[in-house]
Amino acid sequence: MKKFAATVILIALTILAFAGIYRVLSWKDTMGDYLSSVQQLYATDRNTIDVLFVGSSHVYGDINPDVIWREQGFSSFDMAISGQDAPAAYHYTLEALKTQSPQVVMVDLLAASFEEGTTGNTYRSMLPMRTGVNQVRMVMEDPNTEKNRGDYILKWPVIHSRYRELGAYDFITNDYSDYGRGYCYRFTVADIPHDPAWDALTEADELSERNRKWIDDLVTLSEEREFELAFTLLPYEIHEWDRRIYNGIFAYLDELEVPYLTDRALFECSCLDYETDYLDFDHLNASGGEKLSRWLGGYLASHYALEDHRGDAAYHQWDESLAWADRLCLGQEIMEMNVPTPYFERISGEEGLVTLVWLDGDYASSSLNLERAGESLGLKGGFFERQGVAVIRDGKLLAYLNSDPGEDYFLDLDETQILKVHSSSDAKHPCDVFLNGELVFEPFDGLGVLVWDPLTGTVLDKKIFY
Amino acid sequence: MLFNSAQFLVFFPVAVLCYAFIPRRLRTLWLLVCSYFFYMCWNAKYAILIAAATLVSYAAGLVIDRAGEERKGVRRAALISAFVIDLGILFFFKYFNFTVESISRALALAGAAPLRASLNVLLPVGISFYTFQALGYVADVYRGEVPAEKNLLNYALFVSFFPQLVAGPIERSKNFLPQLHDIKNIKVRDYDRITSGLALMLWGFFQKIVLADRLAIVADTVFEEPAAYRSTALIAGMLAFTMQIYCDFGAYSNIAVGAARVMGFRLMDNFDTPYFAEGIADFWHRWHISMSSWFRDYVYIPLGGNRKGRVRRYVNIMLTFLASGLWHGANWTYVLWGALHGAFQVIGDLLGRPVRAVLTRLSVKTEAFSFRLLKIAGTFTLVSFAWIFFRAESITDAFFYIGRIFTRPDPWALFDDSLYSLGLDRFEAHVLLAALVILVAVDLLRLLKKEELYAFLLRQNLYFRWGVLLALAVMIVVYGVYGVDFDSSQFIYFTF
Repeated sequence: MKKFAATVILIALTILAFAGIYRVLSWKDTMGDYLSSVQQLYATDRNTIDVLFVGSSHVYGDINPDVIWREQGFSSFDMAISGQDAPAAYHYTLEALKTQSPQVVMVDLLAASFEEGTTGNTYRSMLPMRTGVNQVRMVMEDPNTEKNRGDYILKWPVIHSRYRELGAYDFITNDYSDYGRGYCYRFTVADIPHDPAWDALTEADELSERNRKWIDDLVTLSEEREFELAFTLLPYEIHEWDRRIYNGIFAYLDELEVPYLTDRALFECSCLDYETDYLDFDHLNASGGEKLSRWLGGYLASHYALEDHRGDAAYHQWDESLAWADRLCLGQEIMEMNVPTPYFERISGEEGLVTLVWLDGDYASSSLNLERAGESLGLKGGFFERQGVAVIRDGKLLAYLNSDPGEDYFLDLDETQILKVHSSSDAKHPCDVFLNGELVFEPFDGLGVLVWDPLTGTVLDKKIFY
Repeated sequence: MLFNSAQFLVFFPVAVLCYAFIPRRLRTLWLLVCSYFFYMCWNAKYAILIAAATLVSYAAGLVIDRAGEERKGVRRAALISAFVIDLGILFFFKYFNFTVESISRALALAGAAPLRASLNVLLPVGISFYTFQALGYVADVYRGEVPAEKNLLNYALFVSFFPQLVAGPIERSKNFLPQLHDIKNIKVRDYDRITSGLALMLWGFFQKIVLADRLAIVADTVFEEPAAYRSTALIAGMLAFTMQIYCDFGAYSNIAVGAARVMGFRLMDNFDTPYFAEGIADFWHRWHISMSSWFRDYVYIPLGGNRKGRVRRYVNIMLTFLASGLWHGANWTYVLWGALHGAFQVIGDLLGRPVRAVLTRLSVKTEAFSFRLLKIAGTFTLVSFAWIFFRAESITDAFFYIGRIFTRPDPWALFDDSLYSLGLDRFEAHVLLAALVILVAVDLLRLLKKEELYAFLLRQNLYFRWGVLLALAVMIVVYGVYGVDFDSSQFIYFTF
């Protein structure tokens, strides 16, 4: 009996140990915020999603649920995975339906243009989904995993070798709701040369069996689970061969009387601009995403009976996401500001920001009216007449460094980041700023600022004012 | 079915649980079914070959037994028939193409047309092991060391017992058949024995998945392109293969012995800290013991052993090692590897007396630790050197490899991190080094304390025992080389 009990305890300990190790080794989106939209979906409160957008990076780059929430007040979510192929789109829709009852599901058609046997990002599709029948079916249908199906179903044989790349986010669990509703903010602007040659192409390829089955399966699912199905073809630089495939699909959707929005309709209705709204040939940037989402939100509101949930506590995750998104946009906004007074006024009052201000020289008498701007940040008592580095959090001066050159100041910013300010006696080089030991800023003389945001866990901006 | 496969992780518990709970009279039949299933997972058709080897040796044993002492001709005929048929099958599948190719080369050298015959057959897994096990039984019956096995089921299981079917140990009839006779009395649910067996299997998995497969990355990298490397990397490749083959083969034996132990059977030990041997002869008492003792008992001693004078002894040693080399594979590299080991022993014996005289005259303390360490290092170097022939694709490749070791010195490679470009980056190399330290510690335990890891652990406190077992398990599942190789760089194509 004693030995039996010992065996049971040993087995239990082994299971516990492996469960802990699995949590650490489990796949995180190591190219992004150590999160994937699948994890965000799992962290979303039950039955709170009104509209589900399904697709690839085109979806998480073009459709911004934060904008739709702000403008229309219904909740939407991007269930999007980089390179998501057709079977993954179907199975992830199924996965979302386990906890959500969206009124509308909009599936992007990009996956229809993937060639037979081409699979998107296998890891991203296969690893985040919870183990279950749906996951097994997805793996079994994926031609890319044919030789390693057991590995992908069990997951462990794939993720165990992540020991080589473990980082802080493998040990610290993110609060998923802090990272948006699946949308990915990217502010880069690329001027895309557009070739209109294929826009007006009307010829269509015959619908492939694979695509027909995909659409039929989704239509059947929409009937069984009682949601409105619609398709999008989000705007990107589409060439002749893909355009023919899409035209074939549009014809079939007309036959089925399933609504869809073409890339041209979305482009024109959203008033997109090739010079300002694109990240690259395939994706919109934050500006383009805002325009498209604003129009799409209006379209959805006018075509479906979607309720306004703003102010409803059950939808707090959309409010949190919006706050998070606002911080990202704040970072972008202040990055483009070059005058200190409005800069300081803009960041003052923003909760939780850690701001470093340093200066060399007398700015008190300048025409910039820095005293007033400084006060809004918490810099009182003639800071701008002195030299040195001020560390401010939430309008409170945490430290003022100028008395002891060579002095180091440390601040735990959050669970993973430690700020270090090394002040210097060199007037031309007042301090060095380090994050986790890594030099992030080496300002020279003048008036400078670094803003760190706890909500996004990032440095929003750092600059010297001229 | 490989031991380090998902199939085996399902198969083994099912086999053992059924074995534990079915009526005792069905145990032999159940294990026989499991063994054939195990083999047929690889290639169902080739189960016929095991069945053939089984029936031939079983019949030969019965004929020899019934012929008695009086009908020596019949006994001898049965013995020879069994050897000819079983070795014939082995020759056909393993050596036919090699023989034809070798004759063709010889003919080509003589200016004659080469032979055109060749067979397109797959080498049956484990054929050398089960053939030798069956032949050892026939020889034992012939010598009167064991009675012929009358029960065909028992005998079939003796030949095909799945833990040792494809890579040994090559069991002896006098050790294993009596255990099969007593199978009904085996206390299957014996906690201590089962945990001991499982711990041995765990250690075997560690050797295979964490060590051998990681060492293989270095060995394969270097041996595949020796022209791309200089001395230091080539020596690293040689040492990596030296450790790889020990860990790989030792792992298989440990898993086999452990699996058999879980079911209540004792298989012979196959490895006894071979790299701590103090001479080549000593090495062969510790390396692949079941095979080396097979060759000693059924080749070396029948050839006359050391009973017919010094010259004949040397000839017998060389013949035995040549045969042993050929047993390992159908390639002249194996033959040369065997010849090297034979030559090491002959030369060692020839030099033994004068060397001892010199050592005595110089007052060298031959029992001192330092001298023994020197002997261990010397033996390890010779064995490692010989492994080059074992691993190389051809004799030419082996000599090319050795030639570069001696002609491309680059001691700076020890200091400039270039060794991290042999397939294992810095982190992986550190994992390997840590695992090697554990291996050496366990081997030292066996060498100095004469006990297995689990026997040592049993004498320790529970928390330590469990801690070690859990740590081993964690190292296997985390640091093991298996599954789809996860690499974030594979994400690049679909960054968005």
